[in-house]
Formats: sequence, structure tokens, C-alpha cells
Amino acid sequence: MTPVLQKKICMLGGFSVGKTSLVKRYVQSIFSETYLTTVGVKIDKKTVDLSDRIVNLILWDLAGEDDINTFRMTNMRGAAGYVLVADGTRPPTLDVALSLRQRVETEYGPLPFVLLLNKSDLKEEWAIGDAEVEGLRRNGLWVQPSSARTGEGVEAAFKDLAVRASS
Amino acid sequence: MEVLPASLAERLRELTYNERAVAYLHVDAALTLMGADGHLDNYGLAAVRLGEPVVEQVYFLEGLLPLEESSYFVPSVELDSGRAADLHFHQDGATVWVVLLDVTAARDAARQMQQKAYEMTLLQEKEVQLNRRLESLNRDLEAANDFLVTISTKISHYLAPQIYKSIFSGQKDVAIHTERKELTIFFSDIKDFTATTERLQPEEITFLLNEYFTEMSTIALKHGGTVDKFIGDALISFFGDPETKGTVEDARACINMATEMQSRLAELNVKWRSAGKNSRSACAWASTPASATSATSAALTAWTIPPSVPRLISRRVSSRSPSLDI
Repeated sequence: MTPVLQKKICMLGGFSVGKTSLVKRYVQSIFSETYLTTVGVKIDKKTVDLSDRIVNLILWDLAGEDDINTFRMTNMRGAAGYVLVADGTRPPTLDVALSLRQRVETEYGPLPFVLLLNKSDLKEEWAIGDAEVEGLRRNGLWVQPSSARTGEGVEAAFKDLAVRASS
Repeated sequence: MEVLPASLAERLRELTYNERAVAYLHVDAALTLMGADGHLDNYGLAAVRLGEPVVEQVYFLEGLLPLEESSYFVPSVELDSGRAADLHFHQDGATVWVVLLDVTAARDAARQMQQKAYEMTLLQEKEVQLNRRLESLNRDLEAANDFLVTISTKISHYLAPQIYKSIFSGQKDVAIHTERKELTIFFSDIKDFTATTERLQPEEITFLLNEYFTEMSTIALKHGGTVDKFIGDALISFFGDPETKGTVEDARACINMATEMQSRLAELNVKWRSAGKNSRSACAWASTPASATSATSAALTAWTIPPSVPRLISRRVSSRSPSLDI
């Protein structure tokens, strides 16, 4: 019988970077143009079949903060990994994501994570340079452009994280 | 701690239970669900089974149990049912109570406020970004403008100032067209230039011609003449286009120019003679109806006069005496 594991994964990032939209795209395969800010936490579940094991990802979609100091780090308790999300059209959100990663590592040690540069469909407004992305990759970060609107990079990111979080 | 009157405490308990849709889960040390009651259906938990592992049934508890401290609180958790609950964890011996209190109304109110604040911040961020883009575009525009100024300055050395001014001020289009006008056309060349060049080194010839043309062009411009071109040692200029003072005045300006050119050339000759060079010029002009044309190839456009007119005048020069012939 294929073993079934359950892993808590948190979505972290500044406000309006598309965390909720990414979860919605991944779990329900839908995208809504309407921006609805998350208050507190929204919890969803997605089952991933990894052939040798089944992983239930419990996705904690945490409210994005404009001030990262107000971020409730205790929400990360029990997480097996996390998805950092930045908005590729708003460079300051990348700084927020990297600061959050720092805080998580300080509090909980190294955990598997992926960094998604979201809204890759908005090519005209894209503001994060390739050199910067390459620099992050050279520093060992798993960085990928993604789009909740088109689905680009979404499935692959969660699957990669499921593998690493359940190994 | 003050104790509420029993009837009031009971009323508050009822209010909390009903208004906040209180529900609870009771979990043992092995993380088995040993009890559950209250408004479980409000949170989509009506079907939980006692005696079975709790985390598999109530998946939002994943990672939270067992408790690390005696009490723990997670505010505003939106569950599958769409309702938002505050989750209160309370250690009781080896067991844990999980209490759910509905905060959907408060969550919605907070969301409304938060939404407005974030939208405002997003607008401000957008404004900052747009301003940055505008500044960047302005910088590009300034660079392009500087480049154009440099280029046009370089081009200006190859055009008569009047032509340059009329094109770059937008008065005249660079397009193929012809205008028939009464022009006074002037032609001059250096007498015995070929023989002179045989005596001089190429650098000396260049120096002599540069000085000669610079001086003559300055005089032409001073009198309102449009310097059309230099051909070897010959200078062709005309009066009447693109600026004109009338046919008679243009012709008079041309005569004045020619006189001054001869005077200046005499001065230059003194200087050149002392340097072992000598030169004389002959000139002629004619007032004639002519057409000023924008002569164009695919790669080059020139504002000029047709070649027949200068040829006619140059023949007139050839028939005159070598020194000062008006």
C-alpha cells in the first residue's frame, strides 16, 4: 500500500503578490482577476501523487503584510516547507520575501522552500532583472517565475516542494 | 478575580456559545480524537469520528499537535466551510482541547478595512513606479536629444547656415521639390590654381584652401549669400534663397560681397606671399531666373541650383583677367 504523508506548507510574501491566487490555481485550477486580501490564514489541502508515496499538502495561505515585522512567525509552527512569493512587477516584494526567509531560518532553521516570482504573464511591467534572478540561483535558491493567471511554473513548484518536504 | 453573578455568567456562556458558534475537539496524547461537540457543522467538522487519529480528519491541525506550551492561539483561520475561526489550544494534563470560535463577521470587517489600505498602498507604489519610468524615459530622451544636437552640429559644417537653419527650424522640409526664383548666382575660383598646386605640398594646399574658403564663406554669410558648394578651388554661392531681400538688393549684396572678397584676398595674398605662396581669384555673377532644387538620391539630399547656371558663369570668369575682375 502506498504510504500517505501529510505536510504543512506555508505561503509567505508581501501583500498582493498572488499567494492566494497561486493556491487557488494549484488546488482548484482557477484564477480570479479580483483581488481579495487575506486576513489571518486560509487553509487548503492538495493531494500529490509522487508514485512511491502520496503527500497531502496542507497549504497555509498566510496574510501578506505590508510591514513584515507584524508577521506572525508562530503560524510557521509545524511547517515542513514554505513557498516564498514575490511580485515580479514590484521589486520591493522580493526584498520582503528574502527578509521573511531570513526570519524563518532564524526561528525554525533551514526548511525546504521555493521562491516564486509571480505575475510572469505581465511581461510589459516585469521589473526584476535576469541578472538578479541568476544571482539568487547562484546562492542556491530555487527560484522560478510563475503566473497564477496562466499556471506557468505553479504545478512544478509545488511538486518539487512536496518531494523535498516529504523526503 | 471578581466573580460574575451566576445568572449573568450563564447568559454570557449562552451568548458566546450561540453567537460565536463554539465547537471543541478533545485530543489525547496519542493524537486520537476522544471528544467533539458544539457547532461542529459550522466548521465542516460534523463528520469527525471519535477514536480515530485527529490530524487525518481535521487536517488544519497538521503540525500544531502535540502542543509545545500550555496554550496556543491561531487567529482568524478560514476553513473549508468558508467560515473563519479563532483556534484556541488548551493543554489539560496529557490531553488537548481545541476550541473554535467563529470570527467570520470580524474577519470580513477587517478585510474591508485592510483591502482599502492595501489598494491605497498599491496605488502609491504604482505612482512611484510610473514616476521612475517617466524619469528613465526623460533621461533616454535627453540622451537622444544630446545625440541629435551633436549630429546636427556636425551636419551644420556641411550645409550653408541658411539651409541648415531653415531645415532644423522646421521652416523647410527635406523633400524633393523645386522652386523657381530669381537668384543672383556667384562663382569664383583661384587663378592658376593647378599650376600653384604643382609647386605646393598637399598639406600646404589643404591649408591654403581651408583658409581661403573659411574667409570667403564668412564674407558670403555676412552679406546674406548662401554658400552652395566648393568644387576644387571654386566657390559657388547664391543670393535669393532661402532668404531674399528682393532681386535688386540681392544683386547689390552679391557685388558688395565680391568686392570685400577681393579686398580680403589681397590681404591674404600678402600673408601667403611672405610664406612663399601666392594666389589670385577671378569671379563673376549673374542674376537670372533659376530654380533652387532639393536634389535627392536614396542616401543624400542637397539644396542646390542646377549645374547649368554655374557653368555659364564660370565660362564668364575664364574670359576675364586673372586678378580682380568684376
